[in-house]
Amino acid sequence: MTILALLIIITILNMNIKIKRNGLKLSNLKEKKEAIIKEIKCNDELKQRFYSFGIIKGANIFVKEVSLRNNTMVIDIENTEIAIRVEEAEQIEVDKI
Amino acid sequence: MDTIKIVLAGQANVGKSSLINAMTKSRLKVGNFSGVTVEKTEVRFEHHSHMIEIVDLPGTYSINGFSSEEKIARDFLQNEQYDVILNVLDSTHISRNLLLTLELLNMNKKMVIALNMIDEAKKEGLDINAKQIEAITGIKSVAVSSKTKEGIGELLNTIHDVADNEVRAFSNISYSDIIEEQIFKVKKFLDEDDYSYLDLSSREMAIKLLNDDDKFYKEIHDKPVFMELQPLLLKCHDNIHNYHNTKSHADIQAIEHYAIAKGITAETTHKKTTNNKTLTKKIDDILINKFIGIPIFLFLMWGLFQLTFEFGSIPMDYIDMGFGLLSEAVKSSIAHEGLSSLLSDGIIAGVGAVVLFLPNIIILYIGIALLETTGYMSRVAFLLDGFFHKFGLHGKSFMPLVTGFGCSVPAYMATRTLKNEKDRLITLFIIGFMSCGAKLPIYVLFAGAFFDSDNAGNVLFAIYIAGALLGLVMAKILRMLVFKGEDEPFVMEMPKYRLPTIKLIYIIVSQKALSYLKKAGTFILAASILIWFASTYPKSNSDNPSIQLEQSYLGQLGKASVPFFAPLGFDWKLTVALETGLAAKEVVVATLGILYNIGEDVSEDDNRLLDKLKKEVPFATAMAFVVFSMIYLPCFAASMVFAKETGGYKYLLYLFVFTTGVAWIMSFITYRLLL
Ligand SMILES: Nc1nc2c(ncn2[C@@H]2O[C@H](COP(=O)(O)OP(=O)(O)OP(=O)(O)O)[C@@H](O)[C@H]2O)c(=O)[nH]1
Ligand SMILES: [Mg+2]
Repeated sequence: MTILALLIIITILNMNIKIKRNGLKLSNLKEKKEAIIKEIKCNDELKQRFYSFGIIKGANIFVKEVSLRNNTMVIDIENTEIAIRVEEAEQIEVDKI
Repeated sequence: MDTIKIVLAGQANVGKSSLINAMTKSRLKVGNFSGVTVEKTEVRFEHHSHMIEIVDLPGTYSINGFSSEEKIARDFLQNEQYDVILNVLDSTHISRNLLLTLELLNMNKKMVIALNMIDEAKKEGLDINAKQIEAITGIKSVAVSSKTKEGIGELLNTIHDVADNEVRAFSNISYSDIIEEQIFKVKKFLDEDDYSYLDLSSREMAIKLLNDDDKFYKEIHDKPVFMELQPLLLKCHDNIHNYHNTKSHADIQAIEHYAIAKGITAETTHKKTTNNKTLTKKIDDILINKFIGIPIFLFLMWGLFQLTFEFGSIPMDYIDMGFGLLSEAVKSSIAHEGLSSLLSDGIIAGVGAVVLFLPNIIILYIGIALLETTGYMSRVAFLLDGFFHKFGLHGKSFMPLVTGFGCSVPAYMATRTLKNEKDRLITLFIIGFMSCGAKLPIYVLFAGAFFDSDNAGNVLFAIYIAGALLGLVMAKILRMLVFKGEDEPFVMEMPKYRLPTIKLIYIIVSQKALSYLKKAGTFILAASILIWFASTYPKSNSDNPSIQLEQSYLGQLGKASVPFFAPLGFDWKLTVALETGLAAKEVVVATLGILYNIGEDVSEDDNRLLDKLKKEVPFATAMAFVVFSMIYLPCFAASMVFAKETGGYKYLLYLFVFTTGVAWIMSFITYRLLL
């Protein structure tokens, strides 16, 4: 019984840590901050579009401007400015530099 | 004479259309944003006694792209017959552009690479080694600039050579070790079996198999060799999946291609200077700033309409005077009453009323051309996206909507960049609310007649803004009631700012101005004759010109439909003008010009249409008329394109009911409020 409880607690803790580790999304990134793309989690269609813009795991990304209501942002990637909605930015996970 | 067929492929906004313009004498549409070309276009020309046929395709970010204009490009590349693919790259973004090149290479066609915008690359301190790119990819590469025409001749010769060559050059690209190992295994197997297919090398076949190429699989699937090949392929796939830790073929290809593209770029380009803040970035610090971005945009638009009215009215007075003198001269020199009336009251009044507004149209078109060619367009799409989104529209809808301020026909076609069918339909339905250039004369006429000249520009601005806002509200209503559904993702490239050459602006604007004049000289001319005839006959016994006019065919028609418009305060003349305007919006002013010319005492000292309107039409009616013409059905040509783009006449009927309904209600409200 105790072992089971312990196991459950450990799993929950583990999950928690995982969530935290996966936490930072591009959409949470503040203006003028730089980051590295860690993972892209979205459907293939959007992913394809991301790839063609060079939005891919390992790429460097810089948040140039976020609109007043946090709807849309402009990111700078490989010297190209790309406008992207927050809904789409939420599907990109990043690591701060 | 042999014909060489070349097809252009490249990402959006890399200068494909510009390159064709530079190579030939054609004048394809060019603009500094993604999605200028939405249809395949063919140009033919002669080079070294060969006929060359060159096909411009819409920009494609990837062969697997999803928007409808990307599909056009893919279908063409995969299914049509052609000799050479000319892959156009933007030299300042080689690495991203190479991703498409790598996909194109897998199609195993003859190919030439054009490194366009080399002038810009030089300015940015980029040193690009075309020969090196050629060595790594195995594909002939030429650095060119469609702006300075550098390298154009060499490019043409290269294409020519490649097309003439018996053999197709094979790609030299090498993948990561793990992939290369698998390619090697499959290739060896195919070699031992002596398997052959079309003109593919065994390496190319191996890559096709590892890429899960449908067509090739079908081909080889029924062959005996497949029995032994299958387990090998499975194993190879497994190896790759294990190594990359994913089964997604798209992911693996992306990672591989990305690494290759980076590698090629690193080996072939050198950046000499390191100015880390480009001009574009500096400008964007201001223009897309969250606080001042939108106010600046509104100010610029306001300025444009001020100019349209202020500057436009200067030559306008002279044109008006010219037509007035011409009309007098005709009247006094031609004795035959009917002929003289046809010429002066019909043709000169009708065509003159339309030509009069050419200066305004030109200024408006210059404004739109600047928006399209500087790169500002995409910025505004970004600025307005949040706002648009609230109304159920996509930020990218902005481009077709802006095009709609010029003419609805290309605007309807431009909606092809929207890949979500519902977004596209909503945009198609509201493009009409963006008043097209042909409606400008109506507005300028009424603004000039009913407001003093200090305010007329503001009124013009207000009319356009009101139309646009109304369009947004309609979009919201359509979205809520008819086209419910998912949002389309918004990921859009913002091009570099570019100063358009005077020549480019001149070409864009003069083309449109000429076609406006041509329309005035043909279509409007014919319409004017018809209108004159229908408003002069049958002759009645009365000597009073206005009674005569009322009893004419046109008068009868107007009287018959006037009950529908009576609640809006329109008399039969205005009614007729709206009805003839269904053919083309320019006809509205032509009709007014004729009707208010014929029904007048000749002794009138002030002969300008503007003054006559002011005298005969009450203010509230005039404003209701402006509102009605702002909203109701676009011209005949545009309506046909609308039906084609939406995919059915059923939609055209909806549009007719929708726009007429909204127009009636809005102008009723206007009339009642101002009465
Ligand atoms: N400096 C410079 N600008 C260029 C060159 N070629 C094209 N441009 C500019 O780049 C922009 C895009 O040109 P387009 O020819 O419309 O590009 P496209 O590839 O046809 O674009 P889509 O049809 O949207 O895919 C325009 O503003 C051109 O003036 C070049 O060689 N040098
Ligand atoms: Mg083009």
